[in-house]
Amino acid sequence: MAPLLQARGLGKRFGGIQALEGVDFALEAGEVHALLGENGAGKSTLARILAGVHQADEGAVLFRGEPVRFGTPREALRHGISLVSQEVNLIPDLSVAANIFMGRFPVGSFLRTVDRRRMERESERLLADLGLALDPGALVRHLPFSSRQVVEIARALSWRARVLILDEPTSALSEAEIDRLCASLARLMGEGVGIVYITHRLDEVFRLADRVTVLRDGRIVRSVGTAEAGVTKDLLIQWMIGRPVDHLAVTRRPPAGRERLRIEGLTARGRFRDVSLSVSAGEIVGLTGLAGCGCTEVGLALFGAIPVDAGWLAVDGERARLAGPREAVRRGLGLVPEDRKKQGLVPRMSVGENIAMVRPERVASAGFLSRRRLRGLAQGFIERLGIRTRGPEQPVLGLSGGNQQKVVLSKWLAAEAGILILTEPTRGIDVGAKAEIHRLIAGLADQGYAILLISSELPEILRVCEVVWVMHEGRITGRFPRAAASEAGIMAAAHGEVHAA
Amino acid sequence: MRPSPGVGVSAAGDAEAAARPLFGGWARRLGRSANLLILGLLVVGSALLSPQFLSAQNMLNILRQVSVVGLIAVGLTFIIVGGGIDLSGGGVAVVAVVLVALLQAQALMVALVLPVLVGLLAGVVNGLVVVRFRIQPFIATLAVGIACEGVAFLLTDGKPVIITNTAIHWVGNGSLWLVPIPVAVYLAVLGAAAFVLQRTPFGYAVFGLGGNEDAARLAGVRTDLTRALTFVLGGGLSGVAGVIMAARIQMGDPGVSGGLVLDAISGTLLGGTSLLGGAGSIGGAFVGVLILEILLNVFNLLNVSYHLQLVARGCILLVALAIASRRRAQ
Amino acid sequence: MSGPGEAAAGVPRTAGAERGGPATWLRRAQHLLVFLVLVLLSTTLSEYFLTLENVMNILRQVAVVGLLAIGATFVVISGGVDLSVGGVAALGSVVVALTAGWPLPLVLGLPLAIGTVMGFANGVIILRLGIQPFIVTLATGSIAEGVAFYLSDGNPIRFENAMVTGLGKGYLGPLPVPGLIFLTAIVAAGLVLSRSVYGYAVYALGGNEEAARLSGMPIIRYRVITYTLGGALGGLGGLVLAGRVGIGDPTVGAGFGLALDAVTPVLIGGTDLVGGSGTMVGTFFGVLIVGMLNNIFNLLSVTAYWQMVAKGGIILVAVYLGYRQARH
Repeated sequence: MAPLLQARGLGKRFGGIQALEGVDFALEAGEVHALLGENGAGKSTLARILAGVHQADEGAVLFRGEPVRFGTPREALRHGISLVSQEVNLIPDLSVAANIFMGRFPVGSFLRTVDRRRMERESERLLADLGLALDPGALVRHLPFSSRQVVEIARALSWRARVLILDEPTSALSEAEIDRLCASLARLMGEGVGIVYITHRLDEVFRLADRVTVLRDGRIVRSVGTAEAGVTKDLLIQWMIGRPVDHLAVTRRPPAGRERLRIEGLTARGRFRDVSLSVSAGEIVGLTGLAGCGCTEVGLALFGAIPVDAGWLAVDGERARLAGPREAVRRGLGLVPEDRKKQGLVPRMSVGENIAMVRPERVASAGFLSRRRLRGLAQGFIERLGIRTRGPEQPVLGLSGGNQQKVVLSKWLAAEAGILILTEPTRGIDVGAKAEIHRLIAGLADQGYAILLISSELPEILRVCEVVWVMHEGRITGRFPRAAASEAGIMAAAHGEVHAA
Repeated sequence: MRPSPGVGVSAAGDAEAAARPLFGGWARRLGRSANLLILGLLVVGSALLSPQFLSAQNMLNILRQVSVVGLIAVGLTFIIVGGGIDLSGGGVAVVAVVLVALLQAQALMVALVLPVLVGLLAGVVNGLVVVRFRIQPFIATLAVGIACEGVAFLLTDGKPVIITNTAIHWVGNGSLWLVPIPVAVYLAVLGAAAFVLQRTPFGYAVFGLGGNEDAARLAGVRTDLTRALTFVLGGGLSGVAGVIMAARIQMGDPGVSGGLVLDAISGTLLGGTSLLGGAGSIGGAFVGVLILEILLNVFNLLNVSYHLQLVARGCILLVALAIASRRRAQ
Repeated sequence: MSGPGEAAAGVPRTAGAERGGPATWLRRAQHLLVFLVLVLLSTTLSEYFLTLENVMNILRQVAVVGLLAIGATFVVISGGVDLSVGGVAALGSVVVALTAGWPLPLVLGLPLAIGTVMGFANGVIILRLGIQPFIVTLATGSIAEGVAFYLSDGNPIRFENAMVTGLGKGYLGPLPVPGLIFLTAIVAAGLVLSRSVYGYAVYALGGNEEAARLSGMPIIRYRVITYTLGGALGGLGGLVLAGRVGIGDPTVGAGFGLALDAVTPVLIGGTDLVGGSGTMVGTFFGVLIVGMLNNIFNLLSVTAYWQMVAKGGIILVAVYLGYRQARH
């Protein structure tokens, strides 16, 4: 019998990057099939193609043996394929029931009004099935996050789904809620529903899933049954990492200087908890984890861009309360943010104008910018960092990703920020430019900069950092000095295995 | 790395969050009844300040005033809840006012209904410009409003046209079983609008559109059509407001648009509708406009200069905005 | 998930009024084109058009709106909007009329001071409350208008003050004084916008406020300065207006007309409403174009009412074209 949902030779390209290639995937009715892989391995892309959010460039999707092509998510929903993504997409000022039935409200026969009573009854039933006793008339705005996720799942189920694709459904749930979710998933399986389960929690894979598929760099590595002999967590991790580990031989660096940045017990409610680490001059400290680990938020908090609820921070030995980025800048911190286009650059402005943004007074006299000095400043960095551009006057919009990132970096070097927080510095950048930027970072450390490198790319972390901190769902789960660092160890910690340093 | 909402703190978070619905619900209910509280205080205070306030004539006067601004506010509620804004209400209403006067020689139905149709047309233009050409609502409706005012002046060559048609007089000043007709119309519209906004799939779609447009679209709601329809509705209701106004003042005066739309916005915001969209109610719009008109009425009774009233209106809008921003922060 | 591959973007747009940059020349040429067409049109309609007298006339007529448009340029490029300038100008003109007998520095300084204070208030309220600028300035504008009505009791006030009237009706050589004031102001403002640190910040705020914030830029300070500047220019506009007509007129800010009049030249000049781009030169041409359109309307005896209708249409077209340009 044909599998319930199948993908054959699926390929998808985003811009210049091949997100998926030659992917075969099969989901049987009544089974839970887990999808594993690093960030960027292609799990979410596959899920979105199956659910009609994206369209594949190559290959085919088959539902019950028949080829299908979903142009919109609603088409997939009508076929009974439902996706619950991690981003909760609810309408805060409407009731739970209204959210569940948005777009296809049950109407009364007489006046075509929304049949609220039927809607709430159905919602109550769906939620009870998922183990949540909730007032269906309550506004979503008043629900805790964990309940919102369950409401999303209830909504997916309300479409009488035959296939349920869950993208990290348990990241916000408590133990008890996870138990209830598992129970209802078991019930669904009994009804013949097929479930695709994307997760970073290896325990859940073995607890819930019948089969598991590991993706790496857009391709399928293996597909096995979880009950098969020899299938262990370590094996799965190995498949996820797979590539020959390439440790760039780094030139011996002068020993680290004085401590420049230190945090103890830093907590930002809902984002991360009890994070402690320190960065010294000349040191490159890595912070890594999987999606949702909270690493990026730590970087933002260090820069004063998001508020902190507990813990303290010291810059150059002095306790500091950073009210905002301006203060951070004053103390010598610099942040290369995660999204360079939305947070790091003003796209319409030129290379030079972006580089001067932190301390424009430096190229100005009496409040007026000296174009000549600006050009000189920019030219200096263009040469020093090897930025490929027509000149300081070119709008950054026209530069490639790698060069844009160099501009962002130059901005902080121009500001003479001695403590750099780099967030995903080589994301979306081709291999050659990546290596260049890594060399730059190492060079900066040699010059005495204190660098915190926040990245989800393991090879990058291992290549460049002396010490690696790993986070999982908001907490530190491990600290690996370079000598003791291995991809497998870090990956395990990223999946929640606490590593006793 | 994607930020995760309930990361790692769900156990503790649940404890406080479980308390939250109770607490949040209480504050919210207070917020809604806060408006009624203010209204009550206002009525008492006004009665104390001026003996004429509670007279039947004055009360009826207030209600008649409320009906014009209130009708525009009803349309605005739909638009603002849907995440948009409409500054053309005054201009559209004044075109309707002028048309009533110019058509007074025709059949009564024509004189009363055609202006409303023109209002609907203006709403269609608004909707088109916003949805099809993607121009920001505030400037699009501002421009349309000014153009409408120009049309009103053109049609009458700048001079008010007296309405002599007694049937229209009756519409403005007569009563149906003790209820003045403008008020009756307003109440009827209120009821219908509340029904549509709170009970029909369209109403839910408007809330969805304003609350989280992406979520609504992914759920299959036709967001563009819904938004355009809110503008059409707003235009039509401004047209009705204009008809009522013409009947009341018995003149087709192209210069009466001043302050109308500002008052309507103030009333809508005072009533609890959020400028960001996704939250609001028709009942709230009613209470809000009532509060506003009572304030203005008291000013009149106290012989406060008309000009100071203009200042007061602006201040009231600012206060409404400040309250709205405080509510959002909670 | 940020875009994995990078592709070079479309037509690059530089922020400052860089003389000689090819892209800005292209865009400036657009307005030049419209400008030239209008000049041609006007000349064919009336042989009187290209006389020195008429040109100076136009210059004097656009001066007030031009001053307001200068302030609007800063505000719009920074990503905001200010609908209160009409009320501020009305208040300014009324105050001038009422204080006509006072010592000269006060007569000249008060409207400016009032405008500055109102602009500052706008900035503070917008940033403190975090509410969309259009509605806040709508409210403050009507407050200003209300105060103007109150002070003048609803009627225009005639006044006598040689200096102020000289400011409005006088000539410096062939140039009408208002025109001179406008030209001086726009040149100075243009320099500030394109060359100063503050002007640079304005472009950054409109271009990507988040990036500016994460670069340590003092967002609140610069935004408040911008609105204050808009208010000050509104007050100056009111002063010049009073001088030109010899009357303090509270009705001049009525409705949203004047505010819209201030924004129209900015939009026609190629400034995108969302902010981050545009030039003072563009606004200059926009002001001239609007002035010439008014002139043509008058020559054709088009009533003020048709002009209102036309105004609405022009705004819509200008915004739409600006949006189209930004999209590709």
